Amino acid sequence: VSDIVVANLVLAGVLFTIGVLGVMVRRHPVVIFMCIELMLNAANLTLITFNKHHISQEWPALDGQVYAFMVIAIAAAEVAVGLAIIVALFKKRPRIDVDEINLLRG
Amino acid sequence: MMGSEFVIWWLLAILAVAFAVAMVAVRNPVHSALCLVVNFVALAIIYLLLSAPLLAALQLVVYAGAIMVLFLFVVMFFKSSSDRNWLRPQLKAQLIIGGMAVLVFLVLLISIGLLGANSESTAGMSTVVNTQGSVSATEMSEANPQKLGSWMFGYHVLPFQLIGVLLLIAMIAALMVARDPRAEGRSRFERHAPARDDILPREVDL
Repeated sequence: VSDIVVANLVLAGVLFTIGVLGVMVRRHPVVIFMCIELMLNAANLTLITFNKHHISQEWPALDGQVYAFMVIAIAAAEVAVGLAIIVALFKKRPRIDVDEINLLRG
Repeated sequence: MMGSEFVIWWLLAILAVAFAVAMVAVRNPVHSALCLVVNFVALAIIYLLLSAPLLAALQLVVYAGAIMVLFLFVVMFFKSSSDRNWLRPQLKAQLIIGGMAVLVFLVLLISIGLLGANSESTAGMSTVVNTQGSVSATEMSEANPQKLGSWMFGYHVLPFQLIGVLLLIAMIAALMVARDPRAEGRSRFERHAPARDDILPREVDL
C-alpha cells in the first residue's frame, strides 16, 4: 500500500469524523444536511482512492469511480427530498430547531 | 506520485479539513455553506490528483454548483423571516477583498488563456497526455472520461437507469412534500373562482 493511499484514507476518515461531529453538535437542519454531504464526500474519496490503488494494466476496472458517480446522484436526490421536508416544516412554524421536531406528521 | 504533487496534496488536504471544521464551527448557515463549497473544490482537485477527471468535473458542477445553490436557497428562505438585516455586509473590507479576488481570478483566466494559446496541451491535461502529445498506454487505462463512460455503460447499465428513475421519484416526492397544504382539495382552476354554493341558486330544493 503506497503512502498516498494511506494519506487519502486518513483524510477521508478525518472529513467523515468532522461530518459526524457536525451532525451531533449543530441544531440547524440545513447545516446538518451539509454535514451529511461532507460524509458522503468522504466516502467518495475512499471509493476513488481504492479504485486508483487496485487498478492495473491487466484489469483496468473503474468500478470505484462508477460507484462514486452513483453516490453523487443519490446525494442529489436525497438533498431534494430533505430540503423539501425542511421547507414543509418551515411553512408550519417559522423557527425550526431539530430538537423540537418529533413528528413527521404535523 | 511525485514530490510536487505531494506538496499540492498536503495543501489541499489542509484546506479541506480547515474549511470542514469552519463549516461546523461557524454560526451563520450561509457562511457554513460557503465553507462547504471551498471544501468541495479542494476535494475536486484531489480527485484530479487521483486521476479521476470526470468525477472532479462532476464534483464541481453537481456539488459545488447545483446542490450548494439549493442549500443557499433554503437557508435564505429560513433567514428572511427571522431577521431582516442579514444581507448587510459583515466584513469591514469586503469590497477591497472582493475586488482583489476578482482581479486574481482575471489574471488567472488570462494566463491560462495565454498558456493554452502557446502550448498544444493545457496544464491540467499533463497527467493524461505526456510531453510528446501522444497518449501513453498506462495512463490511458485509468484516466479519461471516455474509459469511464464505456465502463459504466458496459457493466453498470441497470444501476444507471435505476438512478434515473430514482431521481424522477425524488423530484415528484419533493414537489408533493413541499406543496402548500392550504391549497389541498382545490384544483388550480377553482382556487380563484367563487365557491360552488354561491353559484347555485339557493331556492332550488330537491
